[in-house]
Amino acid sequence: MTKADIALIVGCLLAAFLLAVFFMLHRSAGSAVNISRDGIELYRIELEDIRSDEQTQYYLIQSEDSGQDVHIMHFEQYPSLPTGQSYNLFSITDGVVTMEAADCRDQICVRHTPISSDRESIICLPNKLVIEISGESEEQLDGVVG
Amino acid sequence: MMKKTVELGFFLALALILAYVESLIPFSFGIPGIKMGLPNLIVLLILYRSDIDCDNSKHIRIREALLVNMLRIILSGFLFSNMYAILYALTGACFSFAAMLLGRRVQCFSIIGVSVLGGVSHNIGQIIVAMLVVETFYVGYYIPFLMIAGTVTGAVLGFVAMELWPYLMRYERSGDAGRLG
Repeated sequence: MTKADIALIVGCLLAAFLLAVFFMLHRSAGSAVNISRDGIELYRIELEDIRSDEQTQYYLIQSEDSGQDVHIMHFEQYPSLPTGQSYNLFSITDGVVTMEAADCRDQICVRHTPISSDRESIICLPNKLVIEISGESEEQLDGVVG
Repeated sequence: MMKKTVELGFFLALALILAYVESLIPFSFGIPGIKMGLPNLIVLLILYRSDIDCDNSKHIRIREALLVNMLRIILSGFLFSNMYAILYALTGACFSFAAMLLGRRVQCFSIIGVSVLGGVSHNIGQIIVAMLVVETFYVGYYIPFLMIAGTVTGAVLGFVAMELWPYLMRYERSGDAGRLG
């Protein structure tokens, strides 16, 4: 192992760290929550609309096991969970999206940390559901990374 | 000529076995697509074998390494994954091979440094291609993680290659394996 090796390794790790810090600092809050299933966008919630009242809002996404019918219901309080249907329940509190419950096997989406920043997402693979936060404008995004 | 064919076949088979071993090991840090890159060990060793060549066939060695690299990706792609993975692996391999070649030529790096160069450039190359394909800078967020992963796996593989090197040398020197016709 030569000095150049060590310099290279340290340099790579440092560059990665600086880049990560840079990305972290340039995170911006999202403006909308997109819900899509199987790649098809189902629903879009503008955070502006609900940010005014700081109460937690609950959204229940429900679908028949085989069918393509998906229902999204909005609750002010924690709803009772359906049985015999696949579902995901998430909440929005002051721009923070949390997956509260789901019927999926792995429960990865439920254990996912709450998301609030632009372009973060919670994905439930068994239910093919993607909840993603989208940001303000495209130009801004390109400017950040480019 | 026959000897060379046999040798390269042997290296190719070894690379394929390593690709298989790698596909068996679940190696995940929550970021999809991170691999150990075990088969790169073979490419690394072939690249370094040009050292022990007495004749002036360095450039031929490079061609051999490139040949084995491409073949192992195509074959292991068909065996263990799919068409898309082959394309991505090929682009990554092109980047890493170019970087390793450069690192090899510069002389100031040891086999570990060359391996780190290969690992990091493989990941960055793939991300750049992914950016162009998806037409978004979204994936750019992966770069720091992939750089760290490339550095760590590259360093580990380089270390393994360094430890293996004396054994390969011993094999080369015993018999007439060093002289290729």
